[in-house]
Amino acid sequence: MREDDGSVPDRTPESTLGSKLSREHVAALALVVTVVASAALLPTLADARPAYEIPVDYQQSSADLSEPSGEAWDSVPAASVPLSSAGASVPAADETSVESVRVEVARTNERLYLRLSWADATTDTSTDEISGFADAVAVQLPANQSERPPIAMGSTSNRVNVWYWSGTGEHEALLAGGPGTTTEIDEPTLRANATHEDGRWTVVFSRSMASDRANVTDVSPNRDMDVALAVWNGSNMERSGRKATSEWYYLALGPDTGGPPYEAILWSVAGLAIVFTTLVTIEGIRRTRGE
Amino acid sequence: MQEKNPWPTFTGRQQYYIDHDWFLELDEALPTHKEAPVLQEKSEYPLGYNTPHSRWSIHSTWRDSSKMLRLQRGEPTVYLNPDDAAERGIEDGDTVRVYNDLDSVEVQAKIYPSGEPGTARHYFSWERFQYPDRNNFNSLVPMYMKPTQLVQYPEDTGEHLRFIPNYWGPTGVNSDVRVEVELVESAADDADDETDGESGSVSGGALGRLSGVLGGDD
Amino acid sequence: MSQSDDSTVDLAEGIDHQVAMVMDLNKCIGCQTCTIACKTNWTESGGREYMYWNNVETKPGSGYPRDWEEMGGGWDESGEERTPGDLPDREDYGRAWDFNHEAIMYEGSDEPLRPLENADWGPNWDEDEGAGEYPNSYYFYLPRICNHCTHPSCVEACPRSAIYKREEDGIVLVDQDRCRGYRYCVEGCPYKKVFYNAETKTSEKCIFCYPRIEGEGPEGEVRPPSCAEDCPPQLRHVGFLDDEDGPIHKLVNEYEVAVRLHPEYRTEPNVYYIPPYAPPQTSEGGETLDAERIPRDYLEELFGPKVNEALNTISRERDRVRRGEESELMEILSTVNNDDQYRLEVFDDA
Repeated sequence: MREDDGSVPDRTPESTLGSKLSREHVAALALVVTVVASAALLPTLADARPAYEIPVDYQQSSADLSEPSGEAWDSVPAASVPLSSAGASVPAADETSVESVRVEVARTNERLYLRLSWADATTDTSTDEISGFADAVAVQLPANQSERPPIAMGSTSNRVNVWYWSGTGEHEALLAGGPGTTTEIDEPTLRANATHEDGRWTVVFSRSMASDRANVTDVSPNRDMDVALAVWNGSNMERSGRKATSEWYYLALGPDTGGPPYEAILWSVAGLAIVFTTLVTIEGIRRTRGE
Repeated sequence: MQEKNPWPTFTGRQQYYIDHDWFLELDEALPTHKEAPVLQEKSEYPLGYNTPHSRWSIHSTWRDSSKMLRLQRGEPTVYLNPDDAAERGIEDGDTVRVYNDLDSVEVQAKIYPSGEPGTARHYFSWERFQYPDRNNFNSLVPMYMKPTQLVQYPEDTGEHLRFIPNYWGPTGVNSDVRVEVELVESAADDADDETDGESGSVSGGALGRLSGVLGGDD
Repeated sequence: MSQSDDSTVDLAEGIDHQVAMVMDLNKCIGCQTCTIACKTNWTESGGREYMYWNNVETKPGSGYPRDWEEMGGGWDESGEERTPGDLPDREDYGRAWDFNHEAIMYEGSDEPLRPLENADWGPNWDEDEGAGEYPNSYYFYLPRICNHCTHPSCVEACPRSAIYKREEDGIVLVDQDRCRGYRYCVEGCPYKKVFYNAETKTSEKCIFCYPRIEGEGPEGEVRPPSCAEDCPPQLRHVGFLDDEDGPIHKLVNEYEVAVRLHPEYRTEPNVYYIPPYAPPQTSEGGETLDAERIPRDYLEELFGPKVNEALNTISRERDRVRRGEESELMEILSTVNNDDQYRLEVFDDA
């Protein structure tokens, strides 16, 4: 069969439709299936979406999104965000060890969930020894969204919110207006859960989307949100400005950018259109031939 | 005179001459130097032993204070000259046995370059419960009953001299004591459990036990 | 460095006055009363058990924390770039051992009194060891607190400005609300006099007993820090560096007999030391030799080259007194009047 040399991954369409379709129909359908399958896989590849975009998956129910290994995360697309030393003015600031963090973001109508996962072979969960530092991760958001804040902890006139989780099990909400200014703020809706498995930390942060309080980021369900990430490896004595950080990314909350769900739908619609057109064309040719 | 009272001596004045029969018989009517008896042969017990007052307590008060012990080694120590220690295969921090023919005490060795070679310095007033065998620094020190310490003078009142422990009575003669020191356990070996040491000590003689009872708290 | 309005003494920028202390090492008997006074006041519990804001160490020796002089920190030769420093390990400080008093006193144990954990190092482990060989071995005691430096590298090290020099008197304090326990100050202090509290997750340090010097101490009186007041031989002078009529100014700036510990760290300490004398060396036979017991190069290593002139000046003034002449310096150093030793009420605004 001609299709055997192609990349048709699944014969199910043929088995259900084959009895009614000719060889030409099958060939056309195989092509379509390939296109559609590729389209569905594409969102997992970084270059399938704009640089610095982190997709946001909308879910009806929070289900087990707050769990690092929750099944609700299975359908959420991931982004791999590269990290590099923050270059802060603390000793050995350039000696950081974590090079990337995998980011998945989901939201319900009420809450925003970020699942962050990175490789770290050592589980540093204590600050009880004098030379002991804990692994940590942080999410930085603009405190208000009128203008993108300076990447290094914002500035006095353009502040940032930081969600900070430490390997000691604690998490806190911070407000900062420049390096060295982080101050804990009361944010009772912030949650964090973490696991360390197979040499990787996985931390889920979640927080209420909406906020009407000054200096607490209000996450709008239909507007993109700037976000930056930082990871500390405790056993490498990373703390404070000695950290691996990302550049500014954005959470694709807004309608214009079209996240991966839209992409998949669009590609599916396009695929169906091709099928339809192909079938019509084939039928037209057959009729022309008088078959 | 002191506070309008005469001195409590036979004459009411400062008085060195004691004309009691026993003093006269022992040729001690006036303060007299006598050669010390040889308690331990130097060949057998090469180290001179002394037990000076310490800096970390007032006699035994605060001797077992955790706060003060944290500023020391946490347990009794014997100070040894580095050469003396090396000859015996002893290193700083090792558990050692300090012994003579009276008794044996188990303590930690501390290397002390300012110690005179041939001496073992064991600061005094450690409590008995700080030693594995419940003996102490005085267990190695004999105490003599001198006949003159049993004298009552004048015989009817004892106003001048009468037996009072720690005042006119037997006392440790520690400057004449000799000891030997040997390794019990090296510090490197007992890092896991320091409180579990077997003493391996000889049992204290009668004099040692007596000194332990009377001299436990100088 | 700027100068305060009416003083010729160099103070840190923005500081009105500077507290200072002079410790006469010739009077220290190593009794640790200062250590215990400080500990009882400030560091008995709450994660501070291992801390000795005031410690007394035997020199030559490893000190507290162990080998702190090898741990870096301070400033480079330009005085502008900080020198990297290390974090000591808990074992370098020594752990505050608990003991089996309870078992022995109340439960009938026949074990000896011992630390409940392995004890193989402590803050005074090498006490009295020193260096040299009998009969010319040598050692002396070095009491140490935070130096409340004029150019403090701990302050510069903190990325959050949580550690700062107090404007009114230059005392270096850690703002416990701002501190996030990063420990850059612990690394940055070359004297290792900032301590990490693993319970509060913040760093803490000697506060120069500021409540006492502010009159909030016992009986509501202005009192010197308790390490000074409780010292049996009263070896410390306490006052302000810029009090030009005070003994500290005379000892430091006029006679220049009070010198800084490790001036090459360039933090400009405000605790100064009268360097130690020791009897001369002796022969095996016990005869006095014309040789100094404490090697001069060791004292230079500790106190810098200025120690030589300081020792010479003290010798010269001592000889004057021996000849029956007056010596203001010797009077300051041998005073038994606390009013002369502790001058803390000379400025209205300090």
